[in-house]
Amino acid sequence: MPSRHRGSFFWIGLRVGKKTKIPIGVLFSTTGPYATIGEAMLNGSLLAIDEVNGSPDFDFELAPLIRNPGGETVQYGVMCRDLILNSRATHIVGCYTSSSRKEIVPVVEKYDALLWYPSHYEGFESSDNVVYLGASPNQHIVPLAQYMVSRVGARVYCCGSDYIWPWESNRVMREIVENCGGQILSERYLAVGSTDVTGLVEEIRLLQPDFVFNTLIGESSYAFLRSFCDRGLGSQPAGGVRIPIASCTLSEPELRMIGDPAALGHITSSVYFQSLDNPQNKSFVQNYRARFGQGKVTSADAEASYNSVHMLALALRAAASAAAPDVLAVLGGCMFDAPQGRIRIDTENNHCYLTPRIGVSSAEAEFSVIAAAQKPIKPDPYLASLKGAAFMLDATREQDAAGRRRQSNLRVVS
Amino acid sequence: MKQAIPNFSNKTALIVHRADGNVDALLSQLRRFNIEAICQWPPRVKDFSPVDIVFFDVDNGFDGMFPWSDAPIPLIAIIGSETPGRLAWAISQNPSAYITKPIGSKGVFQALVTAFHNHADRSDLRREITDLRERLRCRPLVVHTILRIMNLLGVDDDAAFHLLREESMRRRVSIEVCCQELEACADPVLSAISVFDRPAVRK
Repeated sequence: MPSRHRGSFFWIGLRVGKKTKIPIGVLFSTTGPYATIGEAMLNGSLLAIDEVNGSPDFDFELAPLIRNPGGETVQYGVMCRDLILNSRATHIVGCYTSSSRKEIVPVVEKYDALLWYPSHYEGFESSDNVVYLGASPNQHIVPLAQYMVSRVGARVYCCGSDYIWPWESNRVMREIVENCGGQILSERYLAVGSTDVTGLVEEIRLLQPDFVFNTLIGESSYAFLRSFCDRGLGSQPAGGVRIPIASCTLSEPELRMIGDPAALGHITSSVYFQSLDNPQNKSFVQNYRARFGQGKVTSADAEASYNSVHMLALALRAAASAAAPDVLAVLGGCMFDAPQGRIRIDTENNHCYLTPRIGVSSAEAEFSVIAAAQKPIKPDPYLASLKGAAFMLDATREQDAAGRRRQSNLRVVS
Repeated sequence: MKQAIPNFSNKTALIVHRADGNVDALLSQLRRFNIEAICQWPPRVKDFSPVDIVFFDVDNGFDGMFPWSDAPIPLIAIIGSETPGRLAWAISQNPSAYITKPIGSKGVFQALVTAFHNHADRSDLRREITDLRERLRCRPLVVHTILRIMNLLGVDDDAAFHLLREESMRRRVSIEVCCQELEACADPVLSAISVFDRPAVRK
């Protein structure tokens, strides 16, 4: 393990020429069921590593040790342990799914390493050995639910892939919708990877919800959106039924995969869209295309991975040490002008201040921003502040002032 | 409606434990849930009314540490040593959940969710048992009232119970309370039972 010589500019790593090389584990599945996203995340990380290594502002270089677990959860733990023990990497940038993160957390906690986790997720976790760069539930699910319920309607159809992220996302959606007097018409799950979407589309056609909350992932989601469009239920059909589909996951590379017209008119909640109009994003998109191909599109996952590496580099520089406790000690003071705007870490919970936005998909695999927060929002991984929101005021109506469950007036005698 | 997302905002926790790294970890977790917490060792609090939940040290805990036999709020035991004696003492405090040392980033949230659920569940059960015991105590009175109705109206026991049940529902009280009210009227019982006035129920 690296020693903790604060302020002594002591680096563990290989000194080549003038700059010390700091080994960084880069752990994304670029093959397997969510390879499209894994590739975007790897690309975002590699672009940032190039920028850090090419910058005179840093007196070290990041040496990426790229591993591909191929979407196999167990491999994440095995590879992470190997990176820490055999390659002396204290910092791992990686993981997309929550199950892969849960595999790594005990490993980084055991060896006091740091996982830089660049994906939005369902929350309800806060490890001292993880820095969470993606959106917390209050930064994507909650704004989406509020937006849809206030602008579109509160009769909601939920469909998702059968695992923890959709289950928990639907729980948050249900809480908000029901507290607004709305109704979840149905909550359906498909096995991960299944493309048997006919039943879902038919049920939606019959129930005619105000909107669909889609937490299907990967191929399931693409098949669903195509079938939805084929049945004339899409958001922008010619003479069809207009039922919007809202999600927290649909990203630019996926729009390209799905293809128009099935990819058009879908609502996504995200802290980043490729279409954001600011100098940092323009240069991010331009450099991304120059590095990985002009046909490539950026996404929230690519941006969060890019941000993770930049924040890591800033913290390494400020700490003048690679040891996890030293990096964490200075992390609160690090700010990065990311493509989405300025970001920083909330040291109360190691999650990131981010700017929620709502976009609608348009031609050329882009999203147009239709709503946005005025400034970065404090992360709330446990939704501890959800109760304070206006729509939650009715949540305790079944309890009296002392918190006891209120008895029904009608008595059925037995 | 049931709340789908557990929320502990603005609750107050008392941590009965010597200040140390475990307490630091616990405090930092509680802050993430918007829970205010104070740490005390030994416990000096006399008035527990502002406290919503108590975490207590099992390693150093002692009899009489808390002023109750049945805690009015959820307790969470902080287990260090897993020796049978310490575990027996922990169980004797009737905690609603347990966490183990060293306290880290996992386990505190689940313990809170479990503790509040178990405490509410246990309180409901206790209320129900008290209610059932009281009803059991009144059983002779119910038998007495049913016999009187049978004699007065010349009906069988099923019909008498049916009339009594209907009257209880009309009054929105249990059968036992209804019997107490009817018996308190003494004679004439019949006039006190409004449903008996309906011609349809006369046999």
